[in-house]
Amino acid sequence: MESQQDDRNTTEQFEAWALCVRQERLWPVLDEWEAPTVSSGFNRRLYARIEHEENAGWLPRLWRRADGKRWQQAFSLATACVVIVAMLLLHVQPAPPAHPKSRMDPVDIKQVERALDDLEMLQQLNPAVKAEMPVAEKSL
Amino acid sequence: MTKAVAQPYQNRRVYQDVSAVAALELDTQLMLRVRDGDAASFGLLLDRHRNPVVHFLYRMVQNQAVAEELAQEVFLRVYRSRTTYEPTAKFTTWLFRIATHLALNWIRDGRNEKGVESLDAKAGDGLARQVTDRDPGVEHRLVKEARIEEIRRAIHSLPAKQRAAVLMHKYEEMEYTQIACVLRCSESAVKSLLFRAYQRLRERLAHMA
Repeated sequence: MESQQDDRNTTEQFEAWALCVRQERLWPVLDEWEAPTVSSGFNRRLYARIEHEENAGWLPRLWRRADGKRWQQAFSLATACVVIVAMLLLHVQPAPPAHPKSRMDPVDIKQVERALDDLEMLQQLNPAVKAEMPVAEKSL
Repeated sequence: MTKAVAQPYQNRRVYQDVSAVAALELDTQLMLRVRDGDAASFGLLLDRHRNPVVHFLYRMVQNQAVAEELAQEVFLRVYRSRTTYEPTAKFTTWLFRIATHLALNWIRDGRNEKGVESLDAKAGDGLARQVTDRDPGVEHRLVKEARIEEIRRAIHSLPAKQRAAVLMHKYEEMEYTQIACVLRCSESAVKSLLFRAYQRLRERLAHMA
């Protein structure tokens, strides 16, 4: 049992050692790739940019400080929201207004009652009127 | 598994660690002076870190002009943030975090495809590039250029995050913890990234070793 464990440890150590050797061989190969020297005008260009920024107005500086990209995203989002709300308002039909006759205010009820009374009275009078009318008029 | 990734130049690193503490304090002090309005200290910081930042970015994007442009943006951002600077992390960690962020964004935007130029690229008329030189050392130089091109391609073939981890570990000799801080991941994730990246590089560059 112990010998098996020892064998496993030895194998693991050997593998780790082999990996290290291969890694050590890789190292000088990677060293061959040297980065080129930085151009001589680098500092001058950087200071010119800094000076340009310093002399810029307060709005560009505020824009940069507040991270222009985030503002742009927020602005796009707000615009999209406004467009969606506007479209919803345009497409949703307003509810039809309630029919004026359905409103039963007290004045109307009285008028209706009065009209019904008048009609009833007319109906009562109607046979008498018909009887008095001449035949020619009746045919009309 | 990842423990086996070799730490190069271990003896050299022990000595570097001692001086790193002093350097850390110096960078922090310089940046605090910049915060207080000392422009000369910004110049010192620029001189100390310009080359490592440009070289890192050059190896990331593999284009000198773009690397310098991105490096300018890194130092501009440092300058812009001077008033709000708090020494919560190592200055170099912060610096390389900005640099890595810019480089990864540039790669993500797909702008790297047109920037990289290969020696094997065909000229405008469809013929392979011809290099004419009567110098006796030209053969040696061409072999060297071909080797560098192969290394460059091998590193370029790595996924962007693995590439950044390898460049910080191999060329900038940064510690796992610092790389983890820059890439905003755990130390074990960095080891895993490096293990896979070096495995791939060993396979691709086996014939050169």
